[in-house]
Amino acid sequence: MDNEIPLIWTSKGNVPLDSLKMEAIWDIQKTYIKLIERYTDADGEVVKEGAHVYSLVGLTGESAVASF
Amino acid sequence: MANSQGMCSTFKKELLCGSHAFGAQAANGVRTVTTKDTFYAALFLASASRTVADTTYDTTGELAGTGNYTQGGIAVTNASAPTNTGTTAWWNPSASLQWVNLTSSGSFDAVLIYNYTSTSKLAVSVHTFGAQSIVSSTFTLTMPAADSSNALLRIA
Repeated sequence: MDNEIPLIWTSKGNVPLDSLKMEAIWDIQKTYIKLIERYTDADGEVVKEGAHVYSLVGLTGESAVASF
Repeated sequence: MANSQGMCSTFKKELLCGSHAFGAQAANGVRTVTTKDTFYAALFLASASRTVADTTYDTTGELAGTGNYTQGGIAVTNASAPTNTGTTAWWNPSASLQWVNLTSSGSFDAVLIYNYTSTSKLAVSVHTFGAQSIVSSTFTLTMPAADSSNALLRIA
């Protein structure tokens, strides 16, 4: 059990986790924060990429009324 | 033309006409909506042209139905009825939107919220988040804070 190599699911099937390079990329904007998890193989090909977006603020519809 | 976010113009009119029910309607003495509508969220390619001018959902510019993506999108969890705080009415989905084991058919940057219950799939709003591709992984959209300053849809 101690010698088991962790595998990770990619576009090339399950591959050893330690064969990939992982990058965490943050994209911070006024309206959202995005975390991108990118895995590339030895050839530099992106074999797995996920993203998680946290919306900081939604949309506002402004009300308007006429005066007499 | 690119996607741009906003509350759809026809949605505002439809609110005045009672076409959307995010929660059960308070009795108005004449009619009462006792069931709320179901809302869906669909992802659109960065090359698409989703804007506030959208009136209904359609597949134009949507991610292809490949890589574990189903056209039409996924249901929005709606466990919390709209409410108001002070002078602002607001509604927020009650869970994140998540596509798992996804490989997107291209770079996408927008989600369209629409009324799945309505016959013509009335558009509600477009939200953008920067171009993104997903490869054999998860895409998550986490909702803003559920309050009058940040909720996904607000009428001030």
